[in-house]
Amino acid sequence: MTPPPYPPKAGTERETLVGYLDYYRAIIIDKASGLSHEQANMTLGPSNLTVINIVHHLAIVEHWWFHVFFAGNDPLDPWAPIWDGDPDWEFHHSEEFDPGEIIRRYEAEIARSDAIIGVTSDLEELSVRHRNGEHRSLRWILAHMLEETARHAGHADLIRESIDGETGDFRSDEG
Amino acid sequence: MTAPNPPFQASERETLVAFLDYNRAVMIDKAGGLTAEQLRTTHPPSTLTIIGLIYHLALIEDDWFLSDFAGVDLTEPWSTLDWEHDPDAEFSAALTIDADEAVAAYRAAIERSNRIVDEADSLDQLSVRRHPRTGEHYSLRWIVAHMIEETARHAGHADLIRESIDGEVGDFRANG
Repeated sequence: MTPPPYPPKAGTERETLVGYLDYYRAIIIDKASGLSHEQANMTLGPSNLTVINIVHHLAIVEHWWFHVFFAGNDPLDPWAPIWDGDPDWEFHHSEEFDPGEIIRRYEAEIARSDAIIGVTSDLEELSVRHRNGEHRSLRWILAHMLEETARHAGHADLIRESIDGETGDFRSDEG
Repeated sequence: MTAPNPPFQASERETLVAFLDYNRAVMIDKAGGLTAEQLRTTHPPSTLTIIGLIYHLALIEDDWFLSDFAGVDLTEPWSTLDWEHDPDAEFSAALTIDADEAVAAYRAAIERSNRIVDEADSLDQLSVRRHPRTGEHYSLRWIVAHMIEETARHAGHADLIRESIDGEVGDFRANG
């Protein structure tokens, strides 16, 4: 895949946070690309993480934080049925799917998140939902999504290296 | 050690610094309770080690905040590392020094970085030094956001390495 642009060196708060989040979403997709079904589901023991269950997890996390928690919507299919069941559903069921389908689910959630971010003019706007009475600003959610996506990219780095030796960002296209 | 969760409704500066501080604390926690030998353990095929990551982040803190942003030349121990012969010199050096020294270097660098951020007028303030190729200056905002993602990504590396050493996962678990 084509590497996305790096965030502008002197951009606004929104350009910087969204720019970095976008960059890391692309890294996650890149780490999961070019793998067979078997490779995408390989673990680097003792961790039970796989490159593809990380993608599936981040799709759900995007849906939860932006669509459900911030915008206050009910969870949509295909996530709605899993919400009340196994909290680690995506870690147990990703092998049942085509990896490309899971990547498309993640891309669809990214688009849904971006639409919500795009219509929110102020990053100080607070979430509709709350935990223990505390609403969270869109700024908090963006910064949290950046750290969470980057941390999972770190997991994906080591797992991908153990699958085919690939390290770094967007290397397979650099020849 | 632990770190407070970043505040849910705070200014840009407070929010970003809190997320950076949280991830720095995670990194230091990942080294907690391990022997010097465990800190130098790899999780093959990756050659990364927890102590190497910590020393690398100590360097990166000084490189971005002290050198690039504030324009101060780096001194010991960074100035004597030989990157010409070893592009991963700080990762290599971390394996030869005392582990406590590497963690202390990271803590000292974090303190310097936070002082620089505190003293800046705004996150819009531009770095003294420029991008070597494009000549662009970096805003402090860009540098802090970059340090969040870089520290968090290395915390992800440390997660899998630590789990392979003693099974420990998650943040600040050893403290209950």
